[in-house]
Amino acid sequence: MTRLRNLDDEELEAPFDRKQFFRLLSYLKPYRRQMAIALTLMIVASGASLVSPYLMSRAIGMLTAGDYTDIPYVFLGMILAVVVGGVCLSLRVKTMDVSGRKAIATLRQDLFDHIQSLSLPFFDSRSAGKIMVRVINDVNSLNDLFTGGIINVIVDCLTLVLLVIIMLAINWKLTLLAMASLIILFLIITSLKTRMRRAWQVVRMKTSTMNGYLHESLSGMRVTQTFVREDLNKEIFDETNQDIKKSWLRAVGINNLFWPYIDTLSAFSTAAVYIVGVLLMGPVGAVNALSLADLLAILWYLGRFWEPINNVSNFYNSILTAMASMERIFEIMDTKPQVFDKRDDLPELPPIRGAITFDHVSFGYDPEQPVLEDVSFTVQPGQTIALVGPTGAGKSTIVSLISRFYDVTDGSLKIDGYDVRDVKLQSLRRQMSVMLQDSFIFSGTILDNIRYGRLDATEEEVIEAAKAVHAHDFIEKLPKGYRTEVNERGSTLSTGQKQLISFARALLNDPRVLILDEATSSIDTHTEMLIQKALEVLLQNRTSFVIAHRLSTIRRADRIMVVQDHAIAESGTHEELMTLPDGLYRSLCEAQYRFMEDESAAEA
Amino acid sequence: MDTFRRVLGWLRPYRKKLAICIVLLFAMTAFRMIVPYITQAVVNDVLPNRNMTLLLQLCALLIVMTALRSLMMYKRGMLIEEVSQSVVYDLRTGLYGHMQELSYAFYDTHHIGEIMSRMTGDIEGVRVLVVNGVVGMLESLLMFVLSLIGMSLMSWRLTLLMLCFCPAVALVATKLHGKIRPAHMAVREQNAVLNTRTQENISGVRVVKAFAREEYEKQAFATENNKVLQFNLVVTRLWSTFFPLMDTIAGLATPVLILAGAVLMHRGEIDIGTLVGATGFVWMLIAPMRQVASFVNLITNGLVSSEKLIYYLDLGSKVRNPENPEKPARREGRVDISHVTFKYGDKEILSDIDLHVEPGQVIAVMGATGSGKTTLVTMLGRYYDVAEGSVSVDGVDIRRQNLHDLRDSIGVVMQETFLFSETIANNIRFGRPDAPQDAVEAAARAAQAEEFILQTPQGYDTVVGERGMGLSGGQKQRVALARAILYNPSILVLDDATSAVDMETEAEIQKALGRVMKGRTTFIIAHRISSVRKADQIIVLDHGRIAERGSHRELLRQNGLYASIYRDQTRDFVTAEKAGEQE
Repeated sequence: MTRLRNLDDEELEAPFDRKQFFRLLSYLKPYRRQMAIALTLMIVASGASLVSPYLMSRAIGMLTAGDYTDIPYVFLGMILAVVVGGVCLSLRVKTMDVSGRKAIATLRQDLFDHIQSLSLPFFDSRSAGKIMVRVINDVNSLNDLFTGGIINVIVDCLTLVLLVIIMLAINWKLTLLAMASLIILFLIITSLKTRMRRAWQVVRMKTSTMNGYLHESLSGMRVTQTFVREDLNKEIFDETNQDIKKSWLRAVGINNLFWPYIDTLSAFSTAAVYIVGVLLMGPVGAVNALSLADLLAILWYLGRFWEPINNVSNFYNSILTAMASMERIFEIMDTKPQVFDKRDDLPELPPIRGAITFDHVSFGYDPEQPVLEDVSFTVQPGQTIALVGPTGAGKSTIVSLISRFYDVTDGSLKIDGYDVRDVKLQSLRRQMSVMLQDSFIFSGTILDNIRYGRLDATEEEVIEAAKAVHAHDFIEKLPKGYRTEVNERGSTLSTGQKQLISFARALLNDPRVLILDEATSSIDTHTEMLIQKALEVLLQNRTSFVIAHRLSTIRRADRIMVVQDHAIAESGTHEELMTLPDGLYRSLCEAQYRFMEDESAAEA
Repeated sequence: MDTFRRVLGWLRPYRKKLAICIVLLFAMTAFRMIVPYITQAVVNDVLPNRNMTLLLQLCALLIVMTALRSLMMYKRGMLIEEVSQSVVYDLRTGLYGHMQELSYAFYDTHHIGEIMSRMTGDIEGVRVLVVNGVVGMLESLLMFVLSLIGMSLMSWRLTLLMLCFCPAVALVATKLHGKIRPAHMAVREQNAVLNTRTQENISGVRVVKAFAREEYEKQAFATENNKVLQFNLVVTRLWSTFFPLMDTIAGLATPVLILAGAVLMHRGEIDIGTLVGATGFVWMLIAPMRQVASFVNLITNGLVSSEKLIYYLDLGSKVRNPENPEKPARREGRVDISHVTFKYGDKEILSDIDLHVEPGQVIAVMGATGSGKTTLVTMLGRYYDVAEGSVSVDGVDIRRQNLHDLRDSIGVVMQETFLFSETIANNIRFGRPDAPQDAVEAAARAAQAEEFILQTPQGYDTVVGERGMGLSGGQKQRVALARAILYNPSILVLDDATSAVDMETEAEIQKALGRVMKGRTTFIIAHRISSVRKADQIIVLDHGRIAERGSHRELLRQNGLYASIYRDQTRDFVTAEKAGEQE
């Protein structure tokens, strides 16, 4: 199925990159002290846990000798070791977890903050879902590494060294014998783990493919039902689902080999230690020979080897997985915003009067393909400009440049004589309102949504704005009025109603420059008329740009500009443009007019 | 308990495998009990006279037993994975299939994100419940009981002593469980909030930038992000207290055993081999107890997930296929809407709609935003069921028709265009997956889409949708139109289908539509008079009622709502005409 192939899978692993790794570690820097404490606590804890087998074997030694006097001390010593170990563990988990989680939260905030500073081209080239995965999943996947992974692996290595030293001190011959099996074990583990990692990688890839398919097919469920595609969808889903099951069983098949191997191997090494141990003990009553206590101690310590070895080999895998997330996070953090304040000391843009000048402006999203070429025009303060032209001619691009969503590639754009690049970006945008074709509704109440235009607006002001754009009537009729909860996909609101809300939002902002980008296309004629009336009042003393397809909207403009072939082809009032013999605008109008004409003829 | 029964029901098809699994579990646990006896024998029987023959025999026994046990362990691991993966597969496929049948009403009230988390997170919860919860608990239980028996056969006194640890461990476990569950829930909920927050910020980035609200967004995110941190720290505090506590209690078992063993040895009631053997049992006895807490956690979580899945599975679609569907004699596009009333919750969206359409007629629906236009046309394909009255297509009430057959005869171009991340050709082909390329191209031409399609990098093979090339609103609408045209329905519904295309293109589409609409019944929702005026019947909706109906000319004569819209829209043209004449 082609659809499945179009789901691009994310890289799940990346080779170890020291620079990136240390950059990540720098997030733990503020917690250096806590980390040092945690490390110390862990060393103490692992030391304490290593004391127990030794004390136990001593107790056995005393008991075989029939010497009971020191047993209470051994008992107390063991209790002490357990309690110290427990307390250290508790403190360690606390310090490490708190530091790790705080570092994660900081990393996430940094990432989010950086994303806020990025310009539209970044968002144009990525789906919202992909950015989401960075902020949520990729950051989460570093959790284990931060909250313990790094410290644990250090301690595990230390424990292994300590274990070997203690065992060597007790009996070096038996220790070497035991070590031989450990080397085999180590080889088995490493080869298994590599295969395991690859197999699980396949599982994750298949799962992410399934999730992608699932997300899209659920989003398009209405279309699916309309076109009766359910059965085909089920087939596709079934296929991905089968894939997951198969790959999972393959992966888990390798996974499940792990403990059987270890158990069998440890049985062999236990048997070997028993046999050699008994041989080393020599005949009954031999002097300077191996004691039962030492034999048991070696056996007990041997049992403690498997876990740290397992942990250390897991760590390598988790580092590789984390590396991939890390790379994706830093890739975003290293993306420079394309539109930004050149210097920190740029002046604020004073209150706009609204004179806008395009001075030989050229622009292209892709340098190879210009959208605008050498466009020049001037707009007087307070004028309403309508932009007309075929889809894709560059109308939206012109208005995007005014609020500096993109920077011009050539020429300059001035507002009241200020080049938009020479003033603070925020001071520019704060004085403008843009209303887009797809009106976006945040989840929250309607009140909050309108207030987004001016955060400190009172409820009265919000209602006033809603009244001005004729949204008040329908809002009042909703179950909870202005406090009705709505959301992005909200089916509580019709497309037209969403547009009215975003109108109110823009109005509340009280902008000096107002841009309506096909904002009224889904509003019925009646409502649009009302809005027109409201806007006529509101547009006074404001410069505004209107992109619309409807003549009724367009003809009220002070000036109409026809955008075609990367440039302004015609410019003038409705009346002026209608007088151009072969004018584009005129032919656009006449196309619509023809519908009416034969009707009038029929009526006459 | 009902939930639990349902989960068992999911397992039923695999009961044979599960039974083998349990037998294996029993055998391997029993085998494990032999190890401490081997240790006891080494100390008591081998060492006193250095009996090497016995030692070799014991070692051979140890190796054979362990090897056998390892084999069984592997087999049972694979069996349970097969079972759990099959259950997961069944659930996923079943749930997805079920999702296909649910009506619009379901999708109106449930977020995609929420459904996604059911299909991923909660199904994973069930998997864990089966693998680690049910079987893991059984394993622990067996281990506990068998090692209790094994140890008491060695020394019942030491066993009794070890049992004293049970209540302490159980107490800590229940305490932890009571506290950690709400804490986990809080983290989960807050994560969902953070998710939504991020998603909205990114989807609404143009609004954020247009209003220069970056700082506000950062702060809002920081608030939620910090809440996630705080809730996580609550979990941390609980874990860092209870987990080491359990560990410590369990760890105390060994010193107590040694001390008690010493006392018993002193009194000559046990020998050294028994004491050493008993230490082997301590961990087998303690380990299951230490796991009680995580089992309780696992099982409750798994059951909560199951409950959520069951809610979805039991959510019968309100719109169901009839038992014995009736088939209309001919699919020609006759529509009879008789006194239909439709309610959304308590709100009446349509009231007493009466509309009769002959095959091949064009019906235009006009009306203010929110007056019920879209709802009216969704009634045709039975995406919702009416509250009162009836809708018949081709003479048969749609509630008595097979849903798929019914919808197969209706093509819809929706107000909000949705394209899949597929090639343009496959998007057009969506409703007729086996349509040949030339049919696809013909449909694209009819929808005035071919010109821009050929200008895209790979023409018809260009991938669009969320993961592909972005198309403008007007372009998307035309692809959707082509999709509906290729579908070749007897009823065509155009819901504001050309709102985003420019005037000239619309005129072209109108012309092409004239050909496409021939021989089909067409419903057009539009705001522009130019799009509706040729319709056989125009109805104007007002607050869910038909306020006016008739042909263009009849409605003009009525001089009502329609006529006033007409005047508004034609004023421009009249002015335009005058301007033209002055020339």
